[in-house]
Amino acid sequence: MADNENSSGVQEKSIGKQIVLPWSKAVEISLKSMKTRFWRSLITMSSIVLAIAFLMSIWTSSAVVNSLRTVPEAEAVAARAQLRRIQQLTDALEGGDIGAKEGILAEIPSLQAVLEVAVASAQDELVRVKEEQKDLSESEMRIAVANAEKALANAEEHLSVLQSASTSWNSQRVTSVMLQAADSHVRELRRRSEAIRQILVSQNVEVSDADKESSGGVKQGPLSFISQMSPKDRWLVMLALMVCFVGIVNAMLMSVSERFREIGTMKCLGALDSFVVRLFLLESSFMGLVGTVLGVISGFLLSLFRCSISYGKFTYMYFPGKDILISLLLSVLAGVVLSVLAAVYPARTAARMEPVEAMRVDQ
Amino acid sequence: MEHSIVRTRDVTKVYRMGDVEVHALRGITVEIQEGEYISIMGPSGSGKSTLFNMVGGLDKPSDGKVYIDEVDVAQLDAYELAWLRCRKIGYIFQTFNIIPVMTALENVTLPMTFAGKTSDEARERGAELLSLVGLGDRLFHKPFELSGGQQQRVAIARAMANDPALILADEPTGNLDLSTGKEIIDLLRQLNEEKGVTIISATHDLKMLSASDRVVYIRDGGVDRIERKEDLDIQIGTIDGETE
Repeated sequence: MADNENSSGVQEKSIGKQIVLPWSKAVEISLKSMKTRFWRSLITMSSIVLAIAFLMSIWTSSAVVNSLRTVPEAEAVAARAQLRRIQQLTDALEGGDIGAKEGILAEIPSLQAVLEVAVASAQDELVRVKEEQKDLSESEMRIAVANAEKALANAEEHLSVLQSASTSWNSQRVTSVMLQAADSHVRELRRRSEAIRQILVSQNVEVSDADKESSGGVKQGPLSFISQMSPKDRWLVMLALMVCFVGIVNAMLMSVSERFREIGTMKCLGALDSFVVRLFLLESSFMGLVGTVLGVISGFLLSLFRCSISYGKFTYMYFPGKDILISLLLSVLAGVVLSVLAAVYPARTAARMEPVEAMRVDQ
Repeated sequence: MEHSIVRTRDVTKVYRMGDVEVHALRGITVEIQEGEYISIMGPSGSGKSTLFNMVGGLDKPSDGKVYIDEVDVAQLDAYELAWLRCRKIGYIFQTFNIIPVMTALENVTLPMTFAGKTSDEARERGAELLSLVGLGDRLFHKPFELSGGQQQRVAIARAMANDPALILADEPTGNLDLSTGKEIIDLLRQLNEEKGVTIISATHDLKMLSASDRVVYIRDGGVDRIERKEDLDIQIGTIDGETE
């Protein structure tokens, strides 16, 4: 170590400045502190859980409702367009345009999928009818079963026609089956869309009265569930987050003042101010992460439950997976950022403590 | 001339409490040599704690100079002070101040972590120090599993972590009973003799007198008198009623 002179001219042995707190060690200490103060941290954490659960449940409901408002209608519109296309191609084919065959063949895969679903549901219907023997008389039973069997046979026949369309091409048979399938598909989707519309209206959700034939449904961007939050919900969420923030600041300040001896001692052992800040910020961010994850899960499940009650199976049929994932990530980010920001002021208060505090003895 | 590890020159400390000025120290000049065992004694309000904080690098004087290892403490910035506390000075407190969330070994190795030692080095040395103070079998005990005397031993081991030149003990026996206190004083004396580490203790405990090389009596912010061990003739009764 080199000798150098300071301003007052006294020979000053250079004092090294090397003091470190490796991140792994800081993480270790923070986790231990959290574990020890587990129950206390649990109470602080619960405010994060509640606030984030609230946020996540609003976003989840919003995403589900948005999906129900737009997707069924969009599907119905697409199906109508497909029906029109098939009609046009059929007319072209009958008019002698051989090129139209390519177009027809292109439409087969999607209709095949529709028919496969139709076959499956016809099978389920048949099974259901056979099992439901109590409410009906014998003759009624026989009629019901016969009907179900006929429907199933019909669907299966249509499916096989399409499946063998490319090999055994019979233009009249194929186009007739396709028109029928497309038409019933449109009807089904329209029925479904109407049913969903009714449910949404009954839940006081705004549904556009725009002309359903022409409009392509309401276009939704990826974060629309956020921008379409009602002012009331927006205000409630902000309030919840602010209350949570204040709660964390308060709890951490109490923790800091209780741990004056620990902090003072660490300073006596050579800890820099930045170490103390680091430890407290880490503690808070861990707590924030755990609380946020718990909040996100509970908020999501709560909302899903509520939606299942309101919208039944449609919730799962039109489940907005991507939107939910985005809201999940945003909620976690919000929770962690909130916890870290809330810890800044208490951490700095802790860092400003003098080492001599360690010697304070309460008489 | 022997190397003086702590040197004060006309150290003064004035606290301002509203309109009132409190003169805690009124120009104290003392010199403490390397390897000495010094006790600072004095009644409450005498400035004993203030002087203790000065020589321990925990406070800066209003006037005068404090030199630790010939370095003017007032010239040091926060980093240098932290380094000083980490490497050159070890602290022992009346309330032990062992960090409750860590085991004995982790407590002892904490200053070594700050000093940049690797985990393995730190653990090895930590175990050594703990056996030195008689706690070799309690490395992984948490503070609540240790008695007061044992906690103070951990504190002493921790103070020795980075091989300091100076150990500052603030009422080390204040929270201990007679016999445990005596054990701690004996341990400190042993460290002083075997390792040559300077010990400065601020205390009320008369048992400390016989262990000290010199005793500095503080009264009213000034040095009342300094007594040397050779000049002392104290007989302290033990629990059995026999005199020392």
